[in-house]
Amino acid sequence: MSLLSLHLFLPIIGIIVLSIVKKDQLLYITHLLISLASFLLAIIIFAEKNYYLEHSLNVLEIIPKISLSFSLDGLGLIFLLVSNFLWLVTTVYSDRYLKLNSIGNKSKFYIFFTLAMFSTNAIIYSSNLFTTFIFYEFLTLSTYPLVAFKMDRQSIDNGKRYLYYLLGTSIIFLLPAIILTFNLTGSLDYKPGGIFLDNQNYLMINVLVLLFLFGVAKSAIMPFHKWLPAAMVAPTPVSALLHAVAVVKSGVFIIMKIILFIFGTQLLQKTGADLILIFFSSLTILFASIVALRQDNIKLRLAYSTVSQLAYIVLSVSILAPLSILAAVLHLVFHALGKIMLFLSAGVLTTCMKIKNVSDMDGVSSKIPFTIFFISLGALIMVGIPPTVGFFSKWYLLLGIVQSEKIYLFIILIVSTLLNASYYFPMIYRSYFCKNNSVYKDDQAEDSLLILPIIIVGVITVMLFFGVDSIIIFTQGYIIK
Amino acid sequence: MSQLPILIIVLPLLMVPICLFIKEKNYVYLLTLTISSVNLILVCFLFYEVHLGKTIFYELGGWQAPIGIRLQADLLSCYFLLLINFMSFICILSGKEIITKEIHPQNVYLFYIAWLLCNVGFSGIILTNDIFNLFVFLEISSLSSYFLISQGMHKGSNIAALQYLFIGSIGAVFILLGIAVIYAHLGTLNMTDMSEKFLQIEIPKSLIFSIGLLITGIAIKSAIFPLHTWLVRTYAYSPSVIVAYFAGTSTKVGIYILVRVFLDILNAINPLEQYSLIEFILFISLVGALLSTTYAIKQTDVKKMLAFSSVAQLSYIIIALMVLTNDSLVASLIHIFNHSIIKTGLFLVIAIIFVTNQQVKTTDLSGLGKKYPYMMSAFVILSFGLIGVPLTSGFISKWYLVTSILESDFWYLSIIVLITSFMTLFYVWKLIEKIYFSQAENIKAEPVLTHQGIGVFVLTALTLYLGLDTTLTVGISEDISYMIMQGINK
Amino acid sequence: MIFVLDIVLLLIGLFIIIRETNLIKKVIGLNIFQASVFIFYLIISKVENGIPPILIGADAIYSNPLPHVLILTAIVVGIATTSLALALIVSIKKKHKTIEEDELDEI
Repeated sequence: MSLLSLHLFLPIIGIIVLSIVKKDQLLYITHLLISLASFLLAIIIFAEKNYYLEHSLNVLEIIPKISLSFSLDGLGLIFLLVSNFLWLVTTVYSDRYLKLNSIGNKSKFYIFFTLAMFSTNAIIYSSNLFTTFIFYEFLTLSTYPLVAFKMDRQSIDNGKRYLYYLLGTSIIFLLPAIILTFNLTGSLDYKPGGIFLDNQNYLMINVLVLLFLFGVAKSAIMPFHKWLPAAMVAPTPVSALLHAVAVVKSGVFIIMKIILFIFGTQLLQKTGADLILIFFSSLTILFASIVALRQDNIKLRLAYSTVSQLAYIVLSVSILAPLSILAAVLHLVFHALGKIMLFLSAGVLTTCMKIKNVSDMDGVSSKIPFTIFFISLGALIMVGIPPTVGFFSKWYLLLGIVQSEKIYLFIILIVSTLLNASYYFPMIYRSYFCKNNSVYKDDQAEDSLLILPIIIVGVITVMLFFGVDSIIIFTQGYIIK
Repeated sequence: MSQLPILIIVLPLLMVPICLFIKEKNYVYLLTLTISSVNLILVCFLFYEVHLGKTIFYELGGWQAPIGIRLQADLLSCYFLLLINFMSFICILSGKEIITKEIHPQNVYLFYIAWLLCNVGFSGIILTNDIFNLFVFLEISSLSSYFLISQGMHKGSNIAALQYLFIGSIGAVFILLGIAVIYAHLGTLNMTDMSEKFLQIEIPKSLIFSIGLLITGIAIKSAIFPLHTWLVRTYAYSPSVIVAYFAGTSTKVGIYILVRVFLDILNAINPLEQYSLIEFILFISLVGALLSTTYAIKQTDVKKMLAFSSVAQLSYIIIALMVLTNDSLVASLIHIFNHSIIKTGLFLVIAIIFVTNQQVKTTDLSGLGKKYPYMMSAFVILSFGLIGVPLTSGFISKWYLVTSILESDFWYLSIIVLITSFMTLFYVWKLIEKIYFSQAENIKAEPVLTHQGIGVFVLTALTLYLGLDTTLTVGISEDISYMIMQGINK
Repeated sequence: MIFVLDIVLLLIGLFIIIRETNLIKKVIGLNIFQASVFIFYLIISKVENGIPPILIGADAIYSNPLPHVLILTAIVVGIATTSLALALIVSIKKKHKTIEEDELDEI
């Protein structure tokens, strides 16, 4: 158990060191070391998973029968590896990014970044809803200073919106949902098959599902998705790691855990509450894609794409068939990898080329070939075109739909794929085939340190395309029993 | 050990003439500090004794209970006694420099004396078992608080004090009248005796009337919506330390009387149920919570903002009390304790930082995050407590409030509690944004003295500690509620 | 009957406190208000055919002496309140040169 607690509290130790260290270079090295250690620990924990999946860590009992406690499960393990790996990757990127964009106050940046990763890890490790809730709020509060990092009017306003949406929904929907669950079941622990007894009031379950769905606004299900575009004022590394991976995926992760381990698939099917989930997630997929079409700002387009992709994951889980749950897990991983690639590349675009809008991307591929290549790769993953990993999640989602006999969902899948393609391909088309009107200066070239992390992620996705079997086997062995 | 209750009242009272004689403000301060720390220790002893499960009685002058006046220390009284004396100690500890700067030098020693008297009044209210005695102690504390308020630097201080005096006296007279009617029916002033007699008689209409009078009187004294206007004005104009002290004590003592009289003495609220008074009070508190939170959002004066926030929080407490289940009683008791600590802490930070500035506008907080990093992080943690962020004590009380209300017949009230606590975020964030995201104006940052810092630190640490370890608040509240509810179901 | 008169007195006092703008008049109103409650105590202490509670023999009916004692305390409290109010009014007069509430409200 010691490793688990070490991994959990490592970022806290890191924060203490970070708040002492003053020099920029040292800050960077400390942050790098923390993220590296965190990633290595995650790997070790993965290697000894059979031990850690069995044991849990009880910290203290806050309210009778409700305690702050941590443990690990298969789903958490996958998410843990992904988030810690991407943290390491972003660390390298963010230092360079901050330097090139001459953003000061690095110490604050690193401290809150580490705090956010601590909260993410804690969410992954939480073994009951109560602990999850605590660190869910923590994550919101620790990312707020990063959203409002530039401290100008716009970032303060957007930061406020970010905070009001996330805290507001969690107070008004999530907290009562948790309390109701506790009242009904007398427990908040995640348990395979759910904690509800069979004799529940159907209406109550439906209401609870709605409360949870809206309460975990980090999963950006419409109508509570507006915080995500608002959060895009943050520096790009923040958008990349936190608002494409850590924060949003925590939201989806919590929703998945609630569906699988609080309600249980059978109860949801019996009460018809899965239809609510399917309805709202399908709605989000379509609307967010349509809105994304109309965004010219690259980061905003990516943000709305995130909204719709997250809804994919939620949709996959709520179909409740084993294969669709597999699709959800796969998409959780692949979307994280693909989206971080896109965001990091967008960061390169703004940093090196001062390009913020899609309409300015004409012909940039000659100037920054690598970046554009990885943007294309990321876009292909998002759309789900065969030579990329994105194809697998779409494929299993299809199989899941067939398995569950909810054939009407095909329409949504097809329409949304077309929409995805139609907002991603213009980016690729413009940068490769459109003619460049303006003349670029000489110093506008790709920065090798910025590109390196993107290349790493890109290579990983390619490797995963061939090694996807291992994830599928792991998922079927440890998550869908 | 049976002498403890009377010692807690008499010791500070004995100090008063001595202080009047000494007059030198530093010595008077030292005496006051000593006495309040001694009092705190005595209360801790008493608490320990009572916690073991017995009730300590002290018969004044040796006269037996129904005829003579009896002091009674049970768990409920000790819980509040601890709160009051702890707050008093913390505020005196941190307040010395502020008081010296704020109060006219000639009046400083009188100020401390009034403080002692006020605390005597509060302790007396809590300890006495005689309802008329309770009225007298209430007036002792009120009279000294009128004086304390009038000493503020703001030019409106004495007007605020006088207005409070009028409203407070009206409340006191209502209480006096209520006591008269109860006495006319039951022929006793002893509260335990009363509770037994209530069970034997059929309650006549005039008694209901007297209960209404008592409620109104207590509601005025404890600033329950809609009788809260004096609170906002006094908080804005009183000396800043006094605000910190009153925020944690005076309204809470009012709640204590409410709990004592309506749950312990009346044994049940059946007379209220008959006339659907409960629904009425719940409705009023609901409106109160909503309106005062809205007002708090609109305020630009920080003290008024926090005052309105107090009114809203009081409404939660009243809602939980009136829902009247075992759990809701626990919830309200927890919230009383936690909210006192949080609010006193917030006002104390304001008091320490704006020593000479009477009217603290929200813009005055601009850029203080850089100047007073520690003070402001304490302020932020305390305001998180106010919102109810997890791992602060505010979250625990919110959890219990919502849980208990959801389980009761009035489950829909929890929606309002949740919405208003979300609205708390709006005004709290207005302050936090100013603190960290606004450019600092050229105010000279005065260093914060260690002992002042300690007071704030202790309150902040308690806010965090009570968010993690709830044995003190939850455990004791459950015992108290068990005790009271046993009485009701007798 | 006497109850009704007493309640009329109480209402008069309350009315003066609420209605008057002159602070001194308000204090007078407060006094009337308090006095009405004092009288109320005296009314309830009266026992039918009771004589003043001075010990004269074994089987006499006395009026209840306790409310009188209570009211003595209440009167003391009332005097304290009144004197404090007057002191505050003096200081208000010194500071603001007026004791009319509507003029003070502007401050």
